[in-house]
Amino acid sequence: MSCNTCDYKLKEATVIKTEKLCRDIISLRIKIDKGSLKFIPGQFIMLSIFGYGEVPVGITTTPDIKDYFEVAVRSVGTVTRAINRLKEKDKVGIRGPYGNGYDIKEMHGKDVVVVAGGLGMAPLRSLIEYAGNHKKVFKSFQILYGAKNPDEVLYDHELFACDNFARTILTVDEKKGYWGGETGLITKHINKLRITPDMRVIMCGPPIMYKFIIPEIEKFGIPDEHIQILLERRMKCGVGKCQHCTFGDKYVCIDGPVFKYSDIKDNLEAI
Amino acid sequence: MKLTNFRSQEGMIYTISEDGVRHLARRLGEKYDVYGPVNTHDDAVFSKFQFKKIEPSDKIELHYPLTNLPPTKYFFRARETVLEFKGSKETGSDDKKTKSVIFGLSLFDLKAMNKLDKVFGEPIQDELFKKNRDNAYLISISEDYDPKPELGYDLHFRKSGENSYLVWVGSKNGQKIVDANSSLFTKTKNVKKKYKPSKKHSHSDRAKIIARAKNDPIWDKLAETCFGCGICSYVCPMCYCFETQDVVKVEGITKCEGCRERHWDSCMNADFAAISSHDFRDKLRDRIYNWYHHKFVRMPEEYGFSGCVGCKRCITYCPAKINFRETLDFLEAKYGVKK
Repeated sequence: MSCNTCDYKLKEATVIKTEKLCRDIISLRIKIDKGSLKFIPGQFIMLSIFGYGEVPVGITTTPDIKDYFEVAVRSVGTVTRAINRLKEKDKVGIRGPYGNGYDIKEMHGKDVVVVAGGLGMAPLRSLIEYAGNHKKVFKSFQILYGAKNPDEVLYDHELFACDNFARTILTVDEKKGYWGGETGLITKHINKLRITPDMRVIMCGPPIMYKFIIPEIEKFGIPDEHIQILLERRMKCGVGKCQHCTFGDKYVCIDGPVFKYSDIKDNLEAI
Repeated sequence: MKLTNFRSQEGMIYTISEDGVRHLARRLGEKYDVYGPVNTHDDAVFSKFQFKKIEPSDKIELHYPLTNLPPTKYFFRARETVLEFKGSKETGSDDKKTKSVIFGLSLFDLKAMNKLDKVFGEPIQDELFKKNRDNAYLISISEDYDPKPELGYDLHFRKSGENSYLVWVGSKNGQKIVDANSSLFTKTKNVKKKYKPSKKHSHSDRAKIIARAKNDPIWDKLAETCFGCGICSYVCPMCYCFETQDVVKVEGITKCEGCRERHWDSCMNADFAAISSHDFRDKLRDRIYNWYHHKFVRMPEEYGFSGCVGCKRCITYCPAKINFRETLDFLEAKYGVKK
């Protein structure tokens, strides 16, 4: 945390580019009107549209870019539907960044595999872009990403272009139209990764994904403290007050959103 | 906390008459907004005694059963404007507040205030709460059998014989009030009276017991009786869950104008922990468990005290007649270390 007071006031910001990533997910490129956003991959911001409200969203770009940052938002509720209607030059409000991002130091010189499910790719893209810019930091980098169908594979062009530094396995549950990647659930494709017991596994996806993928990963002898998971929760404050994001003795907003699996595995509500 | 640093000079204890107390309230009312407990004589509400802004015609109750809503409502408000907006611009909401005095807090509510100061102050200071808090003086009151509160008050009145109160000064502001109304106060010597320390439960024991009882059938049993209405949170001086919402003015339809409000929420409410794709606490049993877990496990871990001051409002106002103490006793008997 950069500051230890919170008055819930917003920084004014402008949407400088929008892109439909798929039917119901929009990517916004946002520039803060005065100053810039300092963050680390995995952190989130509170994004506001006046008259609708405020939602927590993960940052999807690398912090190397100083001029702007991007977020990806699925249209599901009142606020997120309004966000999906935003156009270039529209004004938004920003608070944050909040929470703890990925522990990148811990990944230095290690084999890293990123496992993403659905919109879970969004906050992981920040780390992937970072890895692309700092190839020497990691010993190796692999990406395993599963989506419902080819239309819902986010950032597919970028991911296919990652092969200069990462091995990428993209898979869809149901094949539809042209698709050059794999099919089937991500658990089916774990064997295609080059897994070493000392590797770091970074995950983000729906709760159901963790249930199936973690036992598979543990089979390779990877210890729980080498698994980092980014959790999603309902949040209203972002600063550990409103209680919406708690599980057990943890707050997702201030203790997370990235957790070591070893810190949350005994908590039944975590995932 | 600012109040802990103040030490009243040795022997600086005063006495004040009961009439003096009322007179002080009136005098403070000329300068500040004074809030205190009054008998509303309203049968429609759970308790006739409520904290409200004291008008010259009101009579402050000095001996009253607990009010249904705690006076903490003046600091963590049921509805509060977070910010105001017009179009895509945030407009200032810097309403200048007059200083206020909360007069006649019970020891329960004073304790809750001290705990909330810490909850909203650490590890990140909530500025909305602080703004309300910085603007207020706390004057607490207790019966002669009550122990003196350790801290947190500006002035504390404890009943001492017929029509008289002992007065402790807890802060510089409290001293200023005394000095400005010195005709009402008489200096007296420090009075020492021994009180039996009340039986204390160790936080860690209770936390362990509740953590152990996560899968106990008692939560399912409670869920059968509980309506999930959340009244136990709304009347609790220590509950502080909140929700935020944008409220748009009718005139604002053409140009979006309104405010962002935060208002009380309860972790008992359905959807409290729901996101679009998943509800992490969709069962009432889990929400009930979370209520106990927060008060008796998470808060002791975070702040070193439990989220309960023992005021029993949740027991008094629960429409399903659930008594959390019975639950704790049951769990202590079942999971506690045998003595």
